[in-house]
Amino acid sequence: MRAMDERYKILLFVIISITAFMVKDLVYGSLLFLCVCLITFAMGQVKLTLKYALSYAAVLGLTQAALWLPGALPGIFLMLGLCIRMFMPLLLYARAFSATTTVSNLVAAMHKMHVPKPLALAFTVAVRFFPMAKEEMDCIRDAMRLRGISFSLVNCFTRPGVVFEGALIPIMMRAASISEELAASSVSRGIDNPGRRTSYRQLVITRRDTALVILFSLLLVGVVLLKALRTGGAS
Amino acid sequence: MSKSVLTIRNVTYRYDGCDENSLAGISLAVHPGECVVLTGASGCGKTTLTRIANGLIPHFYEGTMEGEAQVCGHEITDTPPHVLSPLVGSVFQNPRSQFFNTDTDSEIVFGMENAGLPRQEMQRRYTNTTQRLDIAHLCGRNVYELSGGQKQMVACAGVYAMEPELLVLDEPSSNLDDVAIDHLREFLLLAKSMARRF
Repeated sequence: MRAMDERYKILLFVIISITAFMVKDLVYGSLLFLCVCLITFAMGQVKLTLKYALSYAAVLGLTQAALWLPGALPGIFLMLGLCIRMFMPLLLYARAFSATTTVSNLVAAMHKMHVPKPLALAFTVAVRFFPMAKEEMDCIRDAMRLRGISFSLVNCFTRPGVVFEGALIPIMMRAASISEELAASSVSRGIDNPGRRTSYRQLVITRRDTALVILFSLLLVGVVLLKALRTGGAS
Repeated sequence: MSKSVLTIRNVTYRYDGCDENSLAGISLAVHPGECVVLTGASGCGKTTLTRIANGLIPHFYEGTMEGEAQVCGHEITDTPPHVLSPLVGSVFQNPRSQFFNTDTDSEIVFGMENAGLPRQEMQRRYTNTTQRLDIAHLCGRNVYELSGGQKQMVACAGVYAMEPELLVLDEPSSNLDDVAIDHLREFLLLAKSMARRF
């Protein structure tokens, strides 16, 4: 299923980035997260949305339960919970964005929006990063298992040095060589052509896209306004 | 004999930050339809020579070059990479790090998009490429689902669609199994039959 036009996805990304940092308290922050869940749901990312919704509920539950702990512990857990909760709407949307967008569509969309080429390239590579990092991590995890070091929580605490060496060093080495090889491959295929670029797929904005974007933008902004009204403007 | 597509005359090359020359006084000419294989010990300069052939030296890798190198009539030192990219198709060693896109279709058309080909022409070449290379089963897939051999075939398809004058393959089979190497051999035979070379 086609999720939404890329230009609208970028617009929503901007709106979510701003609103997510304007409301982060328990009630309105959760309301905002709910809105983002609706968006990613509409983008067809059902499984991802459910996974994040469940994790969010778990974080909420844990921070509430931590209030019963003695001393400074509730404060620490509240802080931690807040940090995680604040980033979850953004992370969920970024994952959904990455999963539903092909790199060529993204480049084409930014080309149409007249985004400067260097900026467009940087953004594209960032979106492309998630699946690539996952592939590399899977390989590194396999290699570590072969050496008898599994990347588990237990090992992280009992043998941090070995896990550190087995995971981080290959990550850094791979990152360096991948960025060079990828750049070489892109240059050899004319990525720095200053002339006009064409696109194979045609981007089309449908009425459904427009309706969804208006609806979701209103919802997101509505949460911020609602909070401002209820709390008298103080955040 | 027809005009050569690659002429290297007495080239010496040293990467910045290296104490030794990677290439010393090498000369080579490749003609249309020729398939040239470079062999030699590790570190002897095979890859460096391929980088001259596709113009990544001197524009991407920095160093000092002496001598002359011409690719399809262009002096490589005065030709920016995007002028060479429609003429020279490159397939690299590691299938995991040469894809800019995350889906196979975009990867096959990537070079054509950068070159600014009209959409109709892209569609024609895309269809032609997938038929000639017999890779219909690889179309519309996520590149992270593919095996190394399948990825290498997609890379070849991207190059084939550009209809280049010169093909440069840098150890394309080093990460592949026997079956994938057979596919690659068929690809090379096909390219050779069309007088695309290297």
